Amino acid sequence: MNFTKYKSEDFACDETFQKYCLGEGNESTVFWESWIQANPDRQDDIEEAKRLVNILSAKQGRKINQLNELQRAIQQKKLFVDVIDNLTNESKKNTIKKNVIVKFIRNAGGIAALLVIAMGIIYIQRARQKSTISQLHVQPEIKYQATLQKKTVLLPDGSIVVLNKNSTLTLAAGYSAEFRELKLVGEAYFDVKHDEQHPLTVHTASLNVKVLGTAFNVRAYPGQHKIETALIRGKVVVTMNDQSQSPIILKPNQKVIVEPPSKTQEQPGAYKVSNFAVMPIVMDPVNHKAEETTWTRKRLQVVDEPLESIAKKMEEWYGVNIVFANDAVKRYRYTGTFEDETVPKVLDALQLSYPFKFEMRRDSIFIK
Amino acid sequence: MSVEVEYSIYWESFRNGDKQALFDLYNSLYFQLVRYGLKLSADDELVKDSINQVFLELWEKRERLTPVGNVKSYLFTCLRRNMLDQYSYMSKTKSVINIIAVEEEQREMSYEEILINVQQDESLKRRLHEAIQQLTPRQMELIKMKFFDGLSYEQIALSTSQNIKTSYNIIYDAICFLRKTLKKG
Repeated sequence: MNFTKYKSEDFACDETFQKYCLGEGNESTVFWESWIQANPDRQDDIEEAKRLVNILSAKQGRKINQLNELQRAIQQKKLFVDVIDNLTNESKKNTIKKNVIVKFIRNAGGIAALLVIAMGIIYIQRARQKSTISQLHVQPEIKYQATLQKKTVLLPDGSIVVLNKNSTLTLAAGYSAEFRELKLVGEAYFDVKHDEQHPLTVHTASLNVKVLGTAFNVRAYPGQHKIETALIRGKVVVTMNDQSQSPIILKPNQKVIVEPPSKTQEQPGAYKVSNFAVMPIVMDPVNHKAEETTWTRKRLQVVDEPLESIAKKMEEWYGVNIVFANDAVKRYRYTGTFEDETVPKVLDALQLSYPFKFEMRRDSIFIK
Repeated sequence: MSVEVEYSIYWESFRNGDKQALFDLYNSLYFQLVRYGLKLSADDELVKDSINQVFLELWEKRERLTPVGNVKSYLFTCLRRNMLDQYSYMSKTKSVINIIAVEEEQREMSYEEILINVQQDESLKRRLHEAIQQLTPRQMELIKMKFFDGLSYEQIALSTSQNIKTSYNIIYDAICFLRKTLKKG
């Protein structure tokens, strides 16, 4: 169907366009979103058609946006309840501490009043939670920086990111398993926890990468003009911030390179994307692995070494802190060779032959 | 499978902790709930907000919920109650009177009333009022089916016993007229 000759009334009368306006039906939404991006000269007609549909539907709203809001509200509510639980637990702890103090300073009256006020605040907050759901305190932005050494980080949703040197990763405020938005400056390899309902989006200076569950590499250093996205497995959608291109869907072992028009432009984010190319990933002839991700890999060979010294090597190579909660485990001895593995996978393999427990939290691993 | 059975399945599943079933129920009933809410109050933001609050509360107290016979009418009742609560909370007295009148007389606003009342811009309200009066009853009926009830051209053709092409043309002509009359500025 040729929509380029459509006027606003044609759009408004089109059934799939109406669905798109009401945020109903994935197919219609994806189609019209990319059509609109690809035809910026039709902006005025599209806006007028949207306005007509909005008026005549009596502002019924976009279902998809409303649903996202509900999902976010449920998530925020959970965060809120967690915060309240922590507060309550802390005030219980304080009660015990203060009771001890009371015995010494014999000033029970004042302390009790204080406690009552504290509990009162918690109750008021509980009572208010119903009406302030949308203004809840959300977990603030979290920033991870790798300067001289690369760094492996576990995100709250279970995804693993290997940050290359001189790179910064910022998790959006409120990042969680259900809200996965982050910003990247530099280069990183992503191993994303699969969740079709909640896509993870990586924002860079000039493009966004939306993924469902997959492994891919993004290179977006500020000084460097080229931005590269390479997909190892799964499926990702790449969109340009300036909407100069329709979204690009990458297949495994493909990469897209985006270049600015001239090398004289120095402001990242301000440049227009003039050139982009989708091409196959170059495979290393020896190990058949993608060259794009060589920097994330390291051959780790251990011959009858205690875990303590293996951990030292891993700390250095993978840029992760390893903490032992149990001294006996330090002396466990292992032999093996690991290639192309992320730290959690190496540890998982090690503990098979001589069991221990480990837990990854942000950029540290705790071994028990 | 009838839709009511489908709603009951979603209901039972989310009661047992399946969050996706709650979202599926939301997807199935969203527009029906919005339309119902708009008939009670012309504050579209309040209607949408109430719907989300209802679902949020259902999820919060899922463990204490019991099976219900008619999920849809249960949700309609929840929505009406939530809107009333919100109104009394915000003490928007004028609207409260409106909604109480609805409770007493069982009177719902018509499509034309809703169309005009949800708009805040006075000049648009006026132009909308004039434009509606110039449309034929048939045009108005079909516009409502298409844009308010969200029916397809096929469904409209079926229920008005005419062919799809004719239904499309009636709506298209009305839209052309409305576009000119409601033009911005």
